[in-house]
Amino acid sequence: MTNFPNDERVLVTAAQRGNLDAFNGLVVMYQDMAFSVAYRILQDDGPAADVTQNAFIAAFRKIDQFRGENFKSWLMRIVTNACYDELRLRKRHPTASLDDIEGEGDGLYFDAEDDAPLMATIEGPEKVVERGELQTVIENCLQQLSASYRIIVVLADVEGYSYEEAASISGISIGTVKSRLSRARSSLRDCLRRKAELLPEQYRQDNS
Amino acid sequence: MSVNPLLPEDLLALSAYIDGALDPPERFSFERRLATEPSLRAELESLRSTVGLVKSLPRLKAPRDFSLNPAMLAQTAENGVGLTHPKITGLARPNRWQIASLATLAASILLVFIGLIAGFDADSPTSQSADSAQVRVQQTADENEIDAETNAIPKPTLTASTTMDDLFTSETPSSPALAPGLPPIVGTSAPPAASDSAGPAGSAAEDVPPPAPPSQPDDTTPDEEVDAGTVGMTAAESSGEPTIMPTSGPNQDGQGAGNAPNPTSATTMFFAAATATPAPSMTTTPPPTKIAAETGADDHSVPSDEEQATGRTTPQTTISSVSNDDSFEITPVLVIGVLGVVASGFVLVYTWRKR
Repeated sequence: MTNFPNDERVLVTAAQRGNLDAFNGLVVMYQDMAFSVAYRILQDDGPAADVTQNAFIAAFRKIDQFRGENFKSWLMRIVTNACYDELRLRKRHPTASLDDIEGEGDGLYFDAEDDAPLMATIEGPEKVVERGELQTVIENCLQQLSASYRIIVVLADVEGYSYEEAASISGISIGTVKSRLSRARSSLRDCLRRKAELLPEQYRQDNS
Repeated sequence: MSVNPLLPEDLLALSAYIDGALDPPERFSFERRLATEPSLRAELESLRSTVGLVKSLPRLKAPRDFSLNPAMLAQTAENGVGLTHPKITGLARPNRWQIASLATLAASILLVFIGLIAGFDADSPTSQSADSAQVRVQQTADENEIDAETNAIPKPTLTASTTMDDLFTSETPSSPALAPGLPPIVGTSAPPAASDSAGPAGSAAEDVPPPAPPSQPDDTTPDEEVDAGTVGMTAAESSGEPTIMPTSGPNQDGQGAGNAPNPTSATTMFFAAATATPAPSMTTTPPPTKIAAETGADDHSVPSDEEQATGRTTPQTTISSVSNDDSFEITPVLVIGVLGVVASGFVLVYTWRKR
């Protein structure tokens, strides 16, 4: 993941001229990040891979519209939009839609039973503790958030984007980013507390 | 304090404080609250730990290489996924041009047909009136060509046509002799050809008498004059009329290719008239070549040079009076149609080669 801005600029410029090899250099540079975001938003390997692939294809086709800002953010916007499309396509959960979030507690959580692919693969809480799969617990709590909240957590906390970048990528206002992030963090904290007994001692301090 | 006792504003402030996103004044007052409110401080710590845990999530590894290949792009293009990249869609553009040019070509051909039909219809009445007056002058092929051009242009001659007829008739006999360079023309062959295709035009051109030259200068405007002249020599007429042999026969046919005999014919169509005028040398036919044939002018458009040369040289043109059954008139529709065919043909060929 060498990410030298100069290299990126050269690759972007060449890709804008239709150079597919140059664009593939960008793909290699960002495919882990793109897949990571897609997976954490969609919580499903197969669709995440498809969305990632389609996002890169769409990015290549639209790269002539890219105007020199932050390529990574521009690419993430495409990935995020592709995830939105996938979520709308699924229609598995009304909460997956983007507009059901403004209520105080509404839409914050997914129905955990329906949407717990990671948990379904887990033998049991004890096993998780035994194997120290803290990551799995966190992922599971993330998964219980509705998509519109999860996207913000993924962008701001997992990927480390600023409020402004997260707002730009997800297409919402900074104020909405802040409020969603605070509520998502609060609910994540509650989720982790509920699973506190599964966590190693060092993470249980939150409960006290 | 596991239950969240905080107000939404407090949660918002805690989250922003964790991110260092509070303004200095806000941060200062919030820190004072933290110092005095243990529950708020506890909440801050729990949220901070939560954020720390989430940030600890590792970036996942892509399960495969997502690099693109041309086949992938082509496939998704078919599926309509995403926007098409200009560089790639560029290949499809020629198709669009070709489709457009094909459509234009079809429409233009239709216009040509309409123009031909309209031209015949319009001419028929005029031709009838003019029939009596119409006179054919047979000249050498060159002369004929010239005549056609000139004729088209020089309507003025038409007025004189009646007188001309007389003159011509008298003169006619000599025609064969006259055509020095040109075969005397028996244009019989021409007439049929003319009838076949746009024949009328061709015939008309042939018909046109050489004498026109003098008058020519007057009328540069071809179409109208021609009509007025109503000279239109139909191929049939020409054939029927013994005296006047459309040597130009080939020309007539050839509006397209047929013209071959008359080198000039093809090029001339539109320009012939202008050039023709110079041919004053044709003393024999002073006036009024009837010649209606606009089309003839087009078809036979004889290069000015040739006309001048030939026409002048062949003053001897024999003139025979001919009755014109049909005359053809060039209509704007026909012109547009022809132009459309040419233009769309160019585009078609260009795009095809480019591909």
